[in-house]
Amino acid sequence: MIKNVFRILIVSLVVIVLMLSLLLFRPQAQISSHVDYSYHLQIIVENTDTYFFNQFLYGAKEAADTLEAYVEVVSLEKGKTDSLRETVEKGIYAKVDGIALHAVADTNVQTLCDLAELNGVQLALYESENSLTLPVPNIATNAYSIGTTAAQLAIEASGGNCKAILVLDRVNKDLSANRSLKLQGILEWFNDYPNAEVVETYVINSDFMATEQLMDILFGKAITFNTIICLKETSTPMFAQRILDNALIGSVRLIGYGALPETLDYINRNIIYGSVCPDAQEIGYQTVVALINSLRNNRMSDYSSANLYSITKENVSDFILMQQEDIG
Amino acid sequence: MKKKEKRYSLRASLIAFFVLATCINFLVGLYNIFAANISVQDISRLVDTGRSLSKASQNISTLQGDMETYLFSRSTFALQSYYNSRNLVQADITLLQEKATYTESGIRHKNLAGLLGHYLDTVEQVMSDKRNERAEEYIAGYQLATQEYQYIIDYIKTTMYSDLLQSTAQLDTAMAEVQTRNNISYTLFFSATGLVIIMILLFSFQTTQPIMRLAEHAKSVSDGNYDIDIKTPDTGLEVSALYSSFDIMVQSTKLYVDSLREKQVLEQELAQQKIEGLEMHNALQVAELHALHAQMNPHFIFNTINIGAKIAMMQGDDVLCEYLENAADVFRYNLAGLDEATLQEEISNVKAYMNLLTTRFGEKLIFTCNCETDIDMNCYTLPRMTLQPLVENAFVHGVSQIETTGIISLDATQTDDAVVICISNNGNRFPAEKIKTLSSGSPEPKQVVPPGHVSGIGLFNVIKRLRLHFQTDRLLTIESNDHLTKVTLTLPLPKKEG
Repeated sequence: MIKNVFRILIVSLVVIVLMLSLLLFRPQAQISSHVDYSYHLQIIVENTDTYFFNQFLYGAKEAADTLEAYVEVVSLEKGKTDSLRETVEKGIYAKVDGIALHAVADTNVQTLCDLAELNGVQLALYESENSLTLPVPNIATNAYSIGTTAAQLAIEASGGNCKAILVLDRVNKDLSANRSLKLQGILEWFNDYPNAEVVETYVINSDFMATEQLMDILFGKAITFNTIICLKETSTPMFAQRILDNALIGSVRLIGYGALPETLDYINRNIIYGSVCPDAQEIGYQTVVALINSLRNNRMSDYSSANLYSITKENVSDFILMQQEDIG
Repeated sequence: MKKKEKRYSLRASLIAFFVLATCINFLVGLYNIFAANISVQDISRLVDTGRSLSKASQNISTLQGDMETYLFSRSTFALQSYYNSRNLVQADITLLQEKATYTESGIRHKNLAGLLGHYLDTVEQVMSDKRNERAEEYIAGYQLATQEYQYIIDYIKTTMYSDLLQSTAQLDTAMAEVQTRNNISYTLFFSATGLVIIMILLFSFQTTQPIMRLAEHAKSVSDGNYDIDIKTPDTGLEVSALYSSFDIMVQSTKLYVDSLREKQVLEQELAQQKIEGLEMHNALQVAELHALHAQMNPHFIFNTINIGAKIAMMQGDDVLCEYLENAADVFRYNLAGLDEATLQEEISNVKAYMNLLTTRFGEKLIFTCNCETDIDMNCYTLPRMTLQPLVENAFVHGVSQIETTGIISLDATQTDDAVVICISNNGNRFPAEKIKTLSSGSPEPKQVVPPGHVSGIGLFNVIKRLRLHFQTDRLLTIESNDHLTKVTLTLPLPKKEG
């Protein structure tokens, strides 16, 4: 019996020692797997939770992991240029190694480039076709190609007899070259089809109210179109829902932009015929690569074009699956 | 082969037990202390960042103010204050760099350290331009520094807000961990305390139980019970040694006591035998002494009696001759000692004696003797002078006291295991007190031999000699009433040798 008493005491002692060890040597939280990174990069994005930016950041982080760089994501409130300038200046003064930004037309990118160069910080642009002349890497999708791809889908959807309403995103007040190139691409593609035309073009603000107002205009009067080409990612599902609500499936074809989960769902249900989708992941990836190459003095070409996808009923399941894997 | 279990001394067991119990309690206390410290550290860490950022914000605000003061006043005091503030901000930069990690919150510290460092450079340039009186440069520099200062303040606010959100989220987790740790600490504390108490009780019982059992054994032994089963317990060396020694001691004591008892019994038997021997010797001496008293010159008496018998025979007096011959036989038998005699000899002696008496008293005394024919008179032995005193007693105290004819009878019969001799007389009643005294086996009272007794041997002597000869009591019984007194001797037959 006494031996059992000692056994119990020794076991208790061992248990307490183990508990004490677990308490004292608990794992420290929030320590990055990389103790030291080669580069610290800032990527300035709009303060939006769109699919494009999610995929963009995914690609950027993937490149960062490969090239041993740390990517810091700085979110902005969309449309405020002062905020962008201030954020870039903060990054420059904070002595980060590189900054990637999406330049809007009002942004004095040249000034920022000069300041960055003065302080030894590398800049890179993404989806900034307005700033192609700047001597910094620029990774973007070709606006003209967006237009042609959208037009192609519109022709397929309507069988060549396309009366299209074109909806573009207004990033700033003036008509930008970006929008012009998109329109040009559509028109040039339509030239090969005598019955295809752009009936009207609308440029709407970024907020959803603008889209609602436009839909009221379009669907509130006699329908003189059979196709809507919406090159605004967030407005695409809204147009699809209005077509559904107004029982215009089959009467009005919708060509959208982007790969929001709602957009893919509508494509799968044949409410949206197809969507033009930039490879946001590749854009993010190439942006980080371009920055690091610049830091290593391996200059790439200043402009890199990213791929475009046409998402239709035939291949939408692949995109849905990819989205689900990304979420998982 | 079963491995022999190692035993430890009681002292070692006690020391080990208390050391273990103390260690357990100590470690539990240590756990509680560390858990509390870690909880405090976790909570402190949540507010630590905000505290350092707040301090940095104050320092940089002070630095900005000192710069402005110097720019406006160019005083030495302002310059000194500026350098002090600068050192504080430099310390803040060092602290932020130490905290900088490549995590979502840690990277902000890195950025802030960079911003502060750039700001310090800008301010230093402004101060230098001011001292060197480069107005345009320091004015532009001041604007830049002010802008940077604003950036830093905004960044600190943003960082503090982010940290606050993060801390709030982490606070719930931290509080949950603190609560869990507290629960574990309480559980551990009470469990350890309860366990140690239970172990103390168990250990005490197990340790003291053998000792208490040994005490019970000792008490049993002290009460005289040596037949105890002492099982050596599986415990410490000292207790085992104690048990072994106690067992040996009990066994030795038991043997010694048994031997003492045996010795005592033997001594008692020896004493008893000695006493019986002495009693026999004493009885014989008394009988012999009595016989000696009556013994005169045997040769003279025999010669006298024989001459008398011859003279009587020569003169033709047969009665006298027979009387004198019987007298000679009686005297000769009395003088032969008190050893053993056959039953035949005893009865012959009684007949000779009674012949004397019947000759003397004639018709006033009648004697009858009836013996069974199957009694082997010559082979059955008994102490000499056993029957005559009884017959003599029957005459002297019985028939001689009555007026009518006295009858004395001697009857001898044999049973399966005894010879029964009955001497009866029709004389006076045998006193009941004397019957009781004779039956109780009380010591022979000192008495004077009454007149008329030839042998001088009393009933007590006869009974004593019979008892010593046959080694048994209840040989003689007396029944008496007004007209008949019976003295019955029941003499056991010798056991046949198998």
